[in-house]
Amino acid sequence: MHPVHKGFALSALAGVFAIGSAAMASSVIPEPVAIPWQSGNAAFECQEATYTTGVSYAYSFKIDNWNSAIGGAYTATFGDGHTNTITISNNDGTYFNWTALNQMGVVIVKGGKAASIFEYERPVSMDAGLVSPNNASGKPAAVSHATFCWNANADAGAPPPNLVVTDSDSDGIVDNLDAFPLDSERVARRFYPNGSDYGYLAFEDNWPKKGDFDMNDLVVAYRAMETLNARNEVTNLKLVYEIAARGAANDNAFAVHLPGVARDAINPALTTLKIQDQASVPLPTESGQSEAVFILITSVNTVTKTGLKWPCGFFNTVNKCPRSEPVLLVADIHFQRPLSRAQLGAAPYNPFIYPNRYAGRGQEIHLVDHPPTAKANPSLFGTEDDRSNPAEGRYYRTADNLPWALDVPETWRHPAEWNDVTNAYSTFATWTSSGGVTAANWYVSTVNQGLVFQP
Amino acid sequence: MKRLNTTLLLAALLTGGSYQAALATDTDEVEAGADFRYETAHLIPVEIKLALPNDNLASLSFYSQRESGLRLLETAFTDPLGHYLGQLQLPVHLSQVVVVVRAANRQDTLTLPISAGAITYAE
Repeated sequence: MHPVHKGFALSALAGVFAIGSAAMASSVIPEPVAIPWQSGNAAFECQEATYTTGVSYAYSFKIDNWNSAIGGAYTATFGDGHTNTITISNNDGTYFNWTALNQMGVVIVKGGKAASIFEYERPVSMDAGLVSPNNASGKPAAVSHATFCWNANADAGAPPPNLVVTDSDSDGIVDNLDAFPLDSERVARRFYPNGSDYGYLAFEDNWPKKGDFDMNDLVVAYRAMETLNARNEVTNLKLVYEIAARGAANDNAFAVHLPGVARDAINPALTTLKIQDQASVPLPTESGQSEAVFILITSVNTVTKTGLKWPCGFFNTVNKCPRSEPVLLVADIHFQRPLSRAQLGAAPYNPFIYPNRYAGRGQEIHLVDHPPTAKANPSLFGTEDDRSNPAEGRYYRTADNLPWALDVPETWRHPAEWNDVTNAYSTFATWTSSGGVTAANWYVSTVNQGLVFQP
Repeated sequence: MKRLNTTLLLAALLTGGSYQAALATDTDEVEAGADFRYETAHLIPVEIKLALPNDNLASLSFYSQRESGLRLLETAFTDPLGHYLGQLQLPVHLSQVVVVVRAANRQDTLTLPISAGAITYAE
């Protein structure tokens, strides 16, 4: 039985009110912010955490090569004579507790490709149930390291030590509220669906013919992170994707379009794509487009090859086959000038797929009523089962208004191979027939476990 | 080899037949209207007025509440008079948000319902 961080934090918070203890934990963020994480030494990681928490830390200590044998006391000493002793307990390699003689401001727990950032509204001397972020399978990754960040002589009974009304970067947001106190162009972040979880994009790839509606020809987890300036404009956009499943034999490309954002509004020198653990590479906008379009993967089959025979050549759609790790893509898109929310639009923007074959580029498949790009082949609209009507802004619908793609803003289990989404989620049909009025939570309720892929 | 091919052909025919039957049965249950866009999120107007002394602005961290805890949506700032006017992009199934208010002299948590398609709070 693992300790649960939320439960501990709530009980600890109750303790603050009950006995006025200065040392009890009370996280600003009861569940940690989980973000893709660039590892470094302790000082580097605490500086990186500053961008999320908005508080800077004078001291840092990292416990690397984490495993279930980690435990006991670690004493950190510093050149100015400061010392701190951190004790790890109840560690099973995934969850752990800690105590410290000098109170902590933040603890970073790295696992997989991301890190949990446990931020405390007042420095604390203990916490329990720390865990790394869930991966796309919905389970926490094994901890690879933990980094502790603090300031000396923190007194939980006093105002936070950084609560000084200074604005180092003169952006109008005082340092203790500014997520980027040394950067006048950035002050905060906006996430979708949130800072910890993924939404899911699910595609059928047979357009303009109707598919089998199992909505798993391509399943991509996504999280959008918009960085904002003091005018609430977006300075850069980080799109984190995980290719979670491919139930298609056809090879497809995966791309995203930013409708209304001119191609020359993108800063090409700073815009990059990172695939898995490979080094980041420049991410160009697609040529021949007036608006910003990014081709993220030209061959999904190549990056999701299982090397197994049919049906296990599919990637995470057949329950009897071995599971494969999702494929991580991180697009870091910078703009020449900050964009308003109205200019950028809302996540997940306009994702689409097209067949990776000769003359396949024009065969784009988008979410319902999301516009095609300039490279879509207009002669395909209205053919086969498609009833798009560009003049009315209607796209990617059948005569019965069935879609070829869905956007699910929650952790979601896609239908297993050959299982219709209307059977896998029994209120999906209710949702659609009610025009979205009832069963709006169809994707988290009434799931038929036997018909969805079990990670 | 010939026998294998025959078996595969038969399997393909059977699979195709059952696939067509399944398609006809299951997707027939979906009766979407022409105006239904399969949207699972919406932009919710937010207006918050805080009583802040000394002309200090406040940060507002918006969270969604889940069974397993809070999830950060975004952080925004009031003006020096404590007024925030903006929008939140939220999954349509959410009925409330949690807002952590941080200012020079306060830090507290508000739970605000989505009412009449908007989030409002005033002190």
